[in-house]
Amino acid sequence: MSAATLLEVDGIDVRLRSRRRASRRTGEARILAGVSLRVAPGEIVGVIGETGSGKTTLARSVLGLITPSAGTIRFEGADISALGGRQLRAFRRRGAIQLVFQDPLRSLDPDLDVATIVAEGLDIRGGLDEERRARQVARALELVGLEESVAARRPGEISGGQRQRVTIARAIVMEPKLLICDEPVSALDASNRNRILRLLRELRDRLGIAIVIISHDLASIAGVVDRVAVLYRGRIIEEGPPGEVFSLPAHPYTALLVASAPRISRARWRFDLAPEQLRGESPGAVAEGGCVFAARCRFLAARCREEPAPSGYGRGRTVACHRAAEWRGLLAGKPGA
Amino acid sequence: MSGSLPGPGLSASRESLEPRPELVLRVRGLSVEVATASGRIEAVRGVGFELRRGEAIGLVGESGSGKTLTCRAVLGALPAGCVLSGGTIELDGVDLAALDRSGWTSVRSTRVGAVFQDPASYLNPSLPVGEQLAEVIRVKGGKRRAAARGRALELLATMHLHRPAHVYQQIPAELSGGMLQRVMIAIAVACDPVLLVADEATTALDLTTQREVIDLLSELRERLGLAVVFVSHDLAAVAELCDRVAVFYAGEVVEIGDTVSVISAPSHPYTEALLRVGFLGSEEEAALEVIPGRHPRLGEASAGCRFAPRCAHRRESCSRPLGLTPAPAGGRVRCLRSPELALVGAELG
Repeated sequence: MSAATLLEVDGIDVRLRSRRRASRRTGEARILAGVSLRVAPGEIVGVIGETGSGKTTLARSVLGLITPSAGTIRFEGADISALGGRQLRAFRRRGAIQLVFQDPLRSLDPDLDVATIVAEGLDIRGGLDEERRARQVARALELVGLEESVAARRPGEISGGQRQRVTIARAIVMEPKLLICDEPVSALDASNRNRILRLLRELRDRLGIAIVIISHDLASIAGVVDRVAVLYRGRIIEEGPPGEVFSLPAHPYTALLVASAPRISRARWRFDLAPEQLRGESPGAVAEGGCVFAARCRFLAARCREEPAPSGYGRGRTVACHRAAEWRGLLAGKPGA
Repeated sequence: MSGSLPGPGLSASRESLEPRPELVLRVRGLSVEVATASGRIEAVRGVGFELRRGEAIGLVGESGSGKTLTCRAVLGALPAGCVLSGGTIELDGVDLAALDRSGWTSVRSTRVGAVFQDPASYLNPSLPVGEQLAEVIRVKGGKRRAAARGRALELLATMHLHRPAHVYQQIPAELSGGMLQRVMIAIAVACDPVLLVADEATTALDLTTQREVIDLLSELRERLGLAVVFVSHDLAAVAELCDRVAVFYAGEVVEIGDTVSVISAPSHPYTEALLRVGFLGSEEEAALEVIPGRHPRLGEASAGCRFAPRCAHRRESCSRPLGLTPAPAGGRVRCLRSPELALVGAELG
């Protein structure tokens, strides 16, 4: 299995100096703690996490914009977290890992036309004659389903869905092996969201690109990812195939997340717990070093003072919860919880 | 309040047991025009709905569908360049559309509360949030300083903010998005309004927080008898909170009715399409359905059915102008073919 790994994030820690005057605690905040994530070539992996979970920090670490204080990040077998200066710049110029930004209107230069925007990475990398450059730009636009006429327009003159396609074209023109998409569809309505998710799946099928979709929202990843990892306060607390994780969550936080997601039809989900059955409130119950979800967990036990490590939970699944096997049983014992 | 009901939006039957609560809001024939380089264009046309005490109605649709303009019109706060070009907005029997600026201001401060998507931008970043809330109570509610402080603390507790006295002292930057939205709701209901307008108020929040805010709004409806207009592009979020739903398309209401009927037995092909693209999360669901074509831009809408160019059921007759007619499931629908179509809704569990 490890032979087929494209990206291998292994136990990374990211600490940032806390700048919040209000928090008064001096020293550093641990944004990511022992995060491991593997992505195989051509695989689509979803990372779901809410505000403060560290999902953007994880993306920035993989892109080499943040150096982890512990752990390694390997890409095609080479440790990229150890690269510095010239080597790191050379790796980035190659463009094997590309980022798709969240907000196309703010991440696209309003004064440039679409063709120039899409070609930017190629121009920085250099070494292409005019004809090959134009050919690659045209192919990238075609791959994302944009008509040729869009090439001459500016971001302000095209629709939101088209702009999101431009940000994807700008990434795939570099022929990357891995695409990191940070909230790629959260600004779109349901129909356009599905269009972009379909496009990502199609790019994977046609080009064999691996894709990581980072989102705070279930709807942005359900139906498209092969595997999902749930991030909570810098820890991956659960991982597995989306159908299983969303229907039968092993971690109480995943369960709360799924229960909280607005749904039109409850009948289409096997999962039928209500958020109020899962919410817990014991702020301050667990000190530093315990389970990060403890303060919100309904199933808190003495063991939770020790931080649970991710462990196997059936086939292809992991969970970091001491009570993963028992919390459901406790729920049944609490009528009308 | 949760009990065994699957969700607050799915509990409409409760009403039939009691006499109907009094009417709070009646919007009729509401039209809004937008000034553009090529003259005034109608952006909202002939929108009407009613809302009783303790009821919630969801206005749902894509961006540009007119849902937000409708809600801004109800607040008397249309963006620059937009004018109310027709219709009436009756709040407790008084037509707001006929009010002048100062009349609106007094209605907005006491009878109608509003919450928007980005709470931080409505608060002073350097003042403790509790003081800002107390200020509203003092100025608009005419209370003395000490009484206002007491009421503010009470309201923060009602919003389920832990340690209200502590939160009172905090500035906006020290609070999470969900906590800020609770503070905004506290400000909105501070002077006991009859109507609360929530414009994409849960859209930018995390899932767990979004649900908490929806539950809070639901609780305020029941406890205070507050009528709620809830605007969202997310039909699922609307279904969680609202008794009734109005589906907007290209500036018009295309279907309106009680939430359960509309989502389980839609009468308009656009509603059906919205339901189809919104089905997510089940294992077999990998189709990621889309609605073909695109939503018309301002001024592009045709005389007949505005959804027709994207509709699989369109006929030539769909180019004729049409109004809302009674739908089989009890609501009203703007579709010539709806009596003969067998549209598929969501299975309610």
